[in-house]
Amino acid sequence: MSTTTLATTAPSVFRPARRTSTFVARLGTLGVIAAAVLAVIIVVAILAPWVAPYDPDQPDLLNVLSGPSWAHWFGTDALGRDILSRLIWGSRLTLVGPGLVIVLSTVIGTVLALTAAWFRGSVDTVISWVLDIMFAVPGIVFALIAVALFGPSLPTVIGGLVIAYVPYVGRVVRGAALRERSLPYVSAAWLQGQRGISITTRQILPNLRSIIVAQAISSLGFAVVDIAAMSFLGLGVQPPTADLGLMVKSGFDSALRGFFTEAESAGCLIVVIVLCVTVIGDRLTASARSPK
Amino acid sequence: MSEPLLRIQSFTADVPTANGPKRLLNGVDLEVDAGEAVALVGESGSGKSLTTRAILRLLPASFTTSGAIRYAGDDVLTMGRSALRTFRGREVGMIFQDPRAHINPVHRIDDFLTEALCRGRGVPRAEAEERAVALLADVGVRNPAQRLRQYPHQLSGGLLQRVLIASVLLAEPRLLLADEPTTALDVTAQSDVMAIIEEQRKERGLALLFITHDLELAAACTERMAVMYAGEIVEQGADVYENPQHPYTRELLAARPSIEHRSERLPVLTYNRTLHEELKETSIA
Repeated sequence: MSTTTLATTAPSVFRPARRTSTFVARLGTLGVIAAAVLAVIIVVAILAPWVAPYDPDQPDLLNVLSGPSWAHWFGTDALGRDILSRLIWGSRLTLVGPGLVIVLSTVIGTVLALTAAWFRGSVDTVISWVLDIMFAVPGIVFALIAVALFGPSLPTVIGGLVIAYVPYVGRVVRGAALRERSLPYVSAAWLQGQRGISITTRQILPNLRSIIVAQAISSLGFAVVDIAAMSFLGLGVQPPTADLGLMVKSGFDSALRGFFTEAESAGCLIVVIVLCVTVIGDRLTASARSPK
Repeated sequence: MSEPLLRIQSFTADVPTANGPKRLLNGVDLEVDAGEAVALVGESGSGKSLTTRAILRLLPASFTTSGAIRYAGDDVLTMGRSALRTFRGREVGMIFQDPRAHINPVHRIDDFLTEALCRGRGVPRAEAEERAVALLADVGVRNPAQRLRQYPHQLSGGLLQRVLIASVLLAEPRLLLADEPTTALDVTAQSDVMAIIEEQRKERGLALLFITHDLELAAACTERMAVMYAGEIVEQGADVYENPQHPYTRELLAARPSIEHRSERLPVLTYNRTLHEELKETSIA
């Protein structure tokens, strides 16, 4: 009874906490810094047409492999293209490619995990078995198989990696979903006469939100590296498109001639992106495992 | 209409163990008429909760069962999927011991209350909310419209139990199963919640199977009492509380702490499984 009277006198106390503040609290100082750096990179990538000082694909054969200068902050590459502009444009693909991989693989993995957790028994056994087998194969191998079948291109690599990343999300979500599945509120909803599909999507799924997001962001860092590696191997993004992995590769050749800026700057940007994503992922995973 | 609303006939349930099947329910016979309140009492592990789970067909698939459970003439044990869903969702309302565990923490109260109505029966959202508000008011929740916008963690245990009762009543069942609905609550909330269940039950003419440890409460709230021991109903009737026949019931009633007769130590039950088996043999012979 006391709570009833309390609520009438001070209703503001009972308002749900604002979501943004809890999100910041979960990230912690380091996570906020990482998120801020990542946000800057994303904004610059989105604004590439307006921010980039030069056309990233415009060669300047009279000014190849120049060092850093006021005109070209990071110098030019072997074809005289402005490296800063190529970094800005290249980060677009480096963000979009892995982003697509993670979104698609998370959706597929979550659907498989929820199906396994709901039906349990033989359905669960088969799905877990398939996920475990996929887990045993490194992601880059799936990408290589896709490239072997469909030829080198970014969409092919993304397709291969989507399949490769399904078990990462799938296994974690399956475990969490099985736990939720056994909680009394699920059987209560079942007794209310709700259908399995409705219980799974409307009761269980919302409770897994933080774990799914944390797992997806943690995997994002790996996806960035995998896609960059495929481009580096010449199997992903094809020249002359600006891409960070590709820049490390072409910068590698320039480095042999004594010009390090292209490979170094592109490599550093990849490292920064991966580091930011990993820090955020770790923070979110830690807070998802130990609920508020 | 001689058929009772719920009839359990010589129902047994065995759980497989490493040493062969273990009998958990041993020939349970229980009837609940429409609009009648029956209490099921007994010590922990006597099979009270298992009986309610059996009624809802919630026993694990590994259990082997025999006997019959009939609801309004229909055999619960052989119901098809959709019949079973209707039976669980519309005919029987289950009030749980721990409301907090049985309400999804991520949904607001209005989602919890209207979910089954909107999605299961196609009642428009606005109408479902209207009904929910009315019912919350009926079960003694103040400011029901405001409560609907809140999350379960913002409500006290007693309040949440009322919400759970409201959700059960929303489905307009004919039979309530209450599995120790007040055990997780403090004493004042207990009496409030029991009063609400009683009031709503009488108003709507619902049958109630009330599971409890609390013998006084059981006697006060129900018309008939069934006493369980070791998976069996040892005694049932309208005057079990006043006039117990079975030695176990007598001991159980004698073991209650009393304000009039203070004793240094609470009495310990001497009735045990060996005695129980001996008694059964002699009564058969």
